[in-house]
Amino acid sequence: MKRKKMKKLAALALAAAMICSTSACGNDSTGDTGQSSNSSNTSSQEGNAQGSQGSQEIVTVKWVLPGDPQEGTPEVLDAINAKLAEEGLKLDLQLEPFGSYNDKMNMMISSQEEFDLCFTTGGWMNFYLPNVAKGAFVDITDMIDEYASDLKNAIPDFLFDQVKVKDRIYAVPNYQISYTCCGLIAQTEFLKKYDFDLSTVTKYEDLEPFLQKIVENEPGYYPILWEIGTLDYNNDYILVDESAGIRICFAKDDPEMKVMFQKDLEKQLFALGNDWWKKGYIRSDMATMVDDTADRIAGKYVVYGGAVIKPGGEAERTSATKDSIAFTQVGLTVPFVSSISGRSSMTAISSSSKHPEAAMKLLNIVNTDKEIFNLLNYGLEGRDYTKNAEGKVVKAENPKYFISAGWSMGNQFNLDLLEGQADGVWEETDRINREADISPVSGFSFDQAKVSSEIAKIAAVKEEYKSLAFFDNWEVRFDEYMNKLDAAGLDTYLAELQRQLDEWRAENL
Amino acid sequence: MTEPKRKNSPLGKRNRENNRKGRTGPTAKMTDNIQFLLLAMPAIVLIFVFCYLPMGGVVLAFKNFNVKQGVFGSPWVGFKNFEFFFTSSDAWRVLRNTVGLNILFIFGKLVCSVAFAVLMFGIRRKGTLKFYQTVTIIPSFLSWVVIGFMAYSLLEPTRGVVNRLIQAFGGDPVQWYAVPAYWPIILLLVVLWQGVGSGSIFYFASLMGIDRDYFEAAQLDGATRWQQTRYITLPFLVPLITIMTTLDIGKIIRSDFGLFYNVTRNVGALYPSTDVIDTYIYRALMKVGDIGMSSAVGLFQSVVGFVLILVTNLIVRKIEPDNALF
Amino acid sequence: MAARLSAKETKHTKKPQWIAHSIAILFSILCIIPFLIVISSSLTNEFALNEHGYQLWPTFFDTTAYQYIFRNPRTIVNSYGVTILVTVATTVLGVLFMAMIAYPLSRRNCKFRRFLSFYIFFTMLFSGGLVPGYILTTQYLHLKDNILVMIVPSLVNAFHVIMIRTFFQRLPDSLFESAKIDGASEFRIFFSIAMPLSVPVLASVAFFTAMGKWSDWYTAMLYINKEELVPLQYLLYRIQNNLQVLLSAMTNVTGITINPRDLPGNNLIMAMAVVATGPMLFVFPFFQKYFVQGLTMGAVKG
Repeated sequence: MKRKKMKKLAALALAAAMICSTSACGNDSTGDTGQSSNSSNTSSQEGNAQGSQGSQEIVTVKWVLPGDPQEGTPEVLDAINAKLAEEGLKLDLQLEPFGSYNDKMNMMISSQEEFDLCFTTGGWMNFYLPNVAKGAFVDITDMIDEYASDLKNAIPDFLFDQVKVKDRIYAVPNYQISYTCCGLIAQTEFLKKYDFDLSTVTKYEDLEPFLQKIVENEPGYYPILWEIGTLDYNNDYILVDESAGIRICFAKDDPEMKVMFQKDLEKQLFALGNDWWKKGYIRSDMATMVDDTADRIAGKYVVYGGAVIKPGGEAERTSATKDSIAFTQVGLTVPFVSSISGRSSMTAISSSSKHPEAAMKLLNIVNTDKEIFNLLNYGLEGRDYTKNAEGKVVKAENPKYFISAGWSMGNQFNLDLLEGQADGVWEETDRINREADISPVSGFSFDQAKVSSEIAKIAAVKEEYKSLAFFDNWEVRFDEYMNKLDAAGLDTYLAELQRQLDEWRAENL
Repeated sequence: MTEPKRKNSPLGKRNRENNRKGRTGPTAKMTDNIQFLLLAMPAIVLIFVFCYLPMGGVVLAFKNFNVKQGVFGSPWVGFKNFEFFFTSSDAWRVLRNTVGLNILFIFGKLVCSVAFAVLMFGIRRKGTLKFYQTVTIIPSFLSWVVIGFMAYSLLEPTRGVVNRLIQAFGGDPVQWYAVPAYWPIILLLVVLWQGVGSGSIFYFASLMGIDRDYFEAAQLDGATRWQQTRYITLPFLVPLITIMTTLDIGKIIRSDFGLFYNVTRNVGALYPSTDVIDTYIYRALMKVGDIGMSSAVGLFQSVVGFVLILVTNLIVRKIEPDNALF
Repeated sequence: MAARLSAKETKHTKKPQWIAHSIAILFSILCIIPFLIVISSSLTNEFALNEHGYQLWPTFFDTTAYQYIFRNPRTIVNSYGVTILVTVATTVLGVLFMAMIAYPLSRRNCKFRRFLSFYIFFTMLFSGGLVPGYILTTQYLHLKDNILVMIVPSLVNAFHVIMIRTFFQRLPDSLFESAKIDGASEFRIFFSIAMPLSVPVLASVAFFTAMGKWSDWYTAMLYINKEELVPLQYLLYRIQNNLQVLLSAMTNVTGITINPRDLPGNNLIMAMAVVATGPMLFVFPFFQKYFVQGLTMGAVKG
């Protein structure tokens, strides 16, 4: 009986091996033809497009973007393509809902399905570095100069430095706010009522008297919400890497750039968080709260802590509440461009693209042509939106196309302002972007390959303790947290990071 | 021996042997087998195409995947992709929880589903029976996200129904989402609530095949209801129970991500008793997004499940060959 | 025959069944109340839900969630159509194919039954993973944006095959013997004896197949881009998934602006649950009919 089973297993193994080999062949051959036709195709098409402008030779560029599919897409694309035809280009837009974008891109990229452009981010979805490591994106370092000089001029140079991986560029940063300034945003009405001047706050503890008054007098409101996890912005430390979810920094004044995970700071923040939670400043169900959009819209939070402070930020908050609540904001840190801010949103050319040059040209146009960019975002005027007296975009009652996510497509500053957005917000943001201090390690990119196991383990530990502050026994669990980080290989990760940083420093500084 | 057994035993066997020796010649046997093959063909082809063809992908577990080189062309990395999981200090905790909770769930679901099916079998009024069955199947239509919300509305510390009840009776509210020790039981209850209605359907359908004469005979002999259940109904279900359990054992180190992620609200403080392989992998690979690493864990789960099923099947085969899986 | 059975049943029911009924009633209540809460929560707005929590009766009545789902009636009707078509096709063909392979597996005179059992069972444990499956489906079978992709790959479910096989095995051997002696072919025995006698299990398998297909959004997510082929569950699931992904961006990602007003509220998620599961509840009794009635086994006793 045993022998029989063995025989069957062997037969199965054989069958499996056969399948493997056949599909392997299939795979390779398609890969090859893809590549060869790639070069020949593009060269002929390019030749045609350049030789006889306006002739019939038009290259279609397929762009996959996150967003809900829009019924009115064909008409919008027609309008865009009418303009693109002069350049010999045609845009084909595939909108993939946010909820499935990551999975879908993973499949399309891994299977080398043909498409030309996609949205990629450093730490949110369709991750940039793993994709570059997988060979998913085309190296566009030289193509940018050749086909997209307008785009290059429109965007600050440091952003291109920041998307570099081993000195090569694999994506175009979508130009938006680049600096971070961390601070507080509070409801103006309550500030007035309790006569509290937000600008006197220099550290978070200064806020306590105000929060105390809210706890005592305003039932039904939550005094404060930490927006970006915990307060982890500090002007004295420079962020180097965040690939495992924990912030690795070095002291600003350290010439050696010794990287570290600030355990003390972490502990301090958890202590503060726990203190405030016990005092009732932070909502009691913080650890189990998963979706607080209703509270945000209803204006239940009096103060947003650790918030991103930006021009027009108050107006944006106001328009996000249902009763148009007024807000006041104050920055606690100096605007600063971290070394990875250029990666918060990018557009990359897929390595499965058959005409990367055309894709690059299209990116150049989308990032510099205001009319096309507005069409892409807001659809057709009259059908999808109207403009009010101030010339601002007002979404139609039932738009057939309205994406309004310029940050995922290109140069956000080319967008017409939406109703509720402050005048001059783009110009102001652009100005601060260019004036803000830039991280000294801008352009350094960490290669995770050697420590990917450690990074995965650390990420899992970090996630486990993220809401540590909101439990009674936080101190016990904090020690556990630190021990587990060490056990997960924090030192190995730091050592590798340090090694790469030192190498980079020797070459670039 | 119990009554239904009679069916498969001596008489049937003798007939079979007669059959083999007597009537059918080699050609008749051939025709039978050709017909069997024809019947099985559509499914054989479908399984081959959709299950076996892509199975070559298991090599990804040993590869540093590169899209340009494809699944088979990417460089081999040996067992590197397995490292992160097996060197993790959480590996033991995660394995213990996965297996422990699964044993709890398998046992609980088995007992309750069989009990419920037997209970339903005893109900004679068709309308009432249909009502019970329809209503108890509702939970299996709800997604884990929705079930997570329902559980939260019960267990929420301040406004939750359970705590309000406790307070109404003068007790102190319990911080359900802060104490891991409660969760194996809470999860078990959720799983039972969600799965018993639909889980009992197969058992019930099986019971509909029982010959009612057995009960009649038993009643004439003065058997009580319990005795009838114990000596007729349950033995009748043994083959199905065996198969179901064997298959469940194969899945003992897999877990339903939706259940653990949504019902516990992914609260870190509960991980000591609720963190399972699938949630751990999700957490660890969320940022890294490495196909090789996730394939590695998937392969590990498959191999363990496979070995467990082979062992279980071997044991079952020793006891009662008819109940074995293959 | 029927008269004999019912006479027996009356004798049977004389025994007090209050224990069975009280357990069943209790369980039924536990199952039905959450569903009523889901319905009630779908009929209020997110702020009321936030304020008052989940209630059996909405404090504040609001149908915006349904208005949102049905804002484009054509889309939703179309997606119902796709789902129904896919579900019916998969169920009918799937049950047929699964029964067809389960039958040889159950017959002792089938030479390759053990190998075949293993062949099927093996797929329950090992799979090549998503990527190879995706490559196969899109590049070799070219099933992208084809309604068949939602039907064909899910026709045969190993677990269900094993279930059907187990039931076939329980059919009395004598039945097959006598049929054979009468000169019936295996085809004939399968279609006119095995299948009709296994209606309860076939109905159960059909129900689970239908249920699985009805709630499958993943296949559509991977392979369907054409809006006219989007099934109901994917249409609804998008909203739920979007919420999770955008929430994570709102709280963890700097530099990406998301307006919380663009996110769906919990009332919408509840309304989705109602829209998606409601029809299945009406379909269930149809399948139930077949396994509640049972079989008149007496007719086939040898």
